[in-house]
Amino acid sequence: MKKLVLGGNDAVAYAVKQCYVDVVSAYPITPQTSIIENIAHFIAKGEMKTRFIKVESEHSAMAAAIGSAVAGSRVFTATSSQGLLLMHEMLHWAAGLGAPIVMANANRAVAPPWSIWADQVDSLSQRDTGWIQFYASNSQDAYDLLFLSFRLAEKVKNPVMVCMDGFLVTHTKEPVATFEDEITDFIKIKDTPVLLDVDKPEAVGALAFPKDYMPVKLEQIKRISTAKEEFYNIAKEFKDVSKKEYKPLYTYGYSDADIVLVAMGSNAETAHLAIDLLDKEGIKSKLIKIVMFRPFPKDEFKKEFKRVKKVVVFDRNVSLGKSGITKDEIAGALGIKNIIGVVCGLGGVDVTEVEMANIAKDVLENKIKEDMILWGEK
Amino acid sequence: MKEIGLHGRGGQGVVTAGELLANIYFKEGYEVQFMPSYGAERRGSPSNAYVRVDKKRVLHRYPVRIPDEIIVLNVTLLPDLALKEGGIALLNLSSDVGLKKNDKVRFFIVDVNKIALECKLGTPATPHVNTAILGAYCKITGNFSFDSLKKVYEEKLGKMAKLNIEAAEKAYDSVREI
Repeated sequence: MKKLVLGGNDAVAYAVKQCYVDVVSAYPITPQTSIIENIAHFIAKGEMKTRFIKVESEHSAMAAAIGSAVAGSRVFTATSSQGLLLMHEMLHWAAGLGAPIVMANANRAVAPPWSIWADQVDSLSQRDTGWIQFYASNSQDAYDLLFLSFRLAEKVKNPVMVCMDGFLVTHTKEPVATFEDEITDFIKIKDTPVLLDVDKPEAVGALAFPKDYMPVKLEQIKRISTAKEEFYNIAKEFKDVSKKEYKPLYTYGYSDADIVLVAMGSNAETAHLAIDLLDKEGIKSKLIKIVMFRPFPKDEFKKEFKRVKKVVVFDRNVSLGKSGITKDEIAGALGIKNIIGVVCGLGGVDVTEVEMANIAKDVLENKIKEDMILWGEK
Repeated sequence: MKEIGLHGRGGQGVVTAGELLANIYFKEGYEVQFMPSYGAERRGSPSNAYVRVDKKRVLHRYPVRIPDEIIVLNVTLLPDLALKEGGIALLNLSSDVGLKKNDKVRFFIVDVNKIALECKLGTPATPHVNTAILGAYCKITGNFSFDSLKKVYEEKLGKMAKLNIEAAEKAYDSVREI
């Protein structure tokens, strides 16, 4: 292992370089661009033996990625916000065909008004496309999740999206433990399906009448529902090499906490500090960081919420007309009542540990009884 | 935890200075975080970057609010900058004539515009002052050895390392408190 000071984007590009990727097809967009810039640089210097396909849009980037994947290649792409939205149709195709593509998404607010800053609505509004979704809250997560994602995507024949909050994770640099040769055996295992073979011509994705459509979808449902168990298996293998443990939910703080803070992405980093602040005031709290969002880790949440009195969920996203998206998912999956959702940090607004801790205290003291939006003079 | 603000205008190398500074502290065994503040990037517009340095892992995911130390590459930005009481302000300035001082912070000046041009870094319109000023920062804070700075420049700046180290040495020698 070698420690380097890397941003989330640097870490992803560095991981892609080490993952024996056959094809990268991508289109630039802030704040993702430095991922594919770095990759293009590695290829130009001869450090990566990868075919880089330049395309005219994100829709085409995903189309080329799907084409490469069904021909049996290990494929990577990256995008953000408007680019991800333009890919939307193709995301369904990738998942429906079981193309094991790995994509990094820099979470960036969706226009209007035009914004380049952190917000998770872009990827969360792709939650029903059938992609496995991970959320990194720091550069180390981003780096490690790439290795896990290639193995998982190929094992379950399902594409994987690794998301990072724009700038707060993509461009914030910190020490990252990187692999040298020790990861080779883990990542060299390639299990890419060949769906299309030029020597045996056939088509994929043809018209299916209702009686045929449903069985195909059942297959797909089965595929993604195995992803969580397979993730545990692959993460165990990964731990043997890296000594780092990855689970669908990461926790920090007291196991017998009176209040639980849930966060995903960059907020989950700052939330550690909120737990420490609460601890200083004698309040036992716990952080649950959502690492895997799809498939949704329902059983893990159930286990973590046992004997918990109150839950407060911080969402850097919102489902307009409803609530913060992860709050809604948690409440819906578990049918629990004592859960308060806080919509915060949209379009890159700062969210601090002091704000988080104060809200947690107010929730615990019943001063906050309903979902809220964190916004005001800072 | 120490929080450092780097402030300048697009083209002066603020973001690179922040990244180099984070790497120098990292080389000295610290946990570091480098957080550039991005906006509409263009030459001449204000550009900020922040470095956090600590013994344990840095978890804050928002920019520094009130730094302990500021490194100011363009002093026209000074009226809008925050700095903690008792903090250090390192300014790119040839003389203190006209500078509004106060006794709550310590001011240091160094003429890195002149030094950069002497070392052939940048053009008279946009001298690349970022690497020189870190030499001055090394001297006034004593937080890391000049040798660590030199090593990081050699690793990160390739062929240009020599001139940048020379500029940093000149700034190290000429920085003064006012």
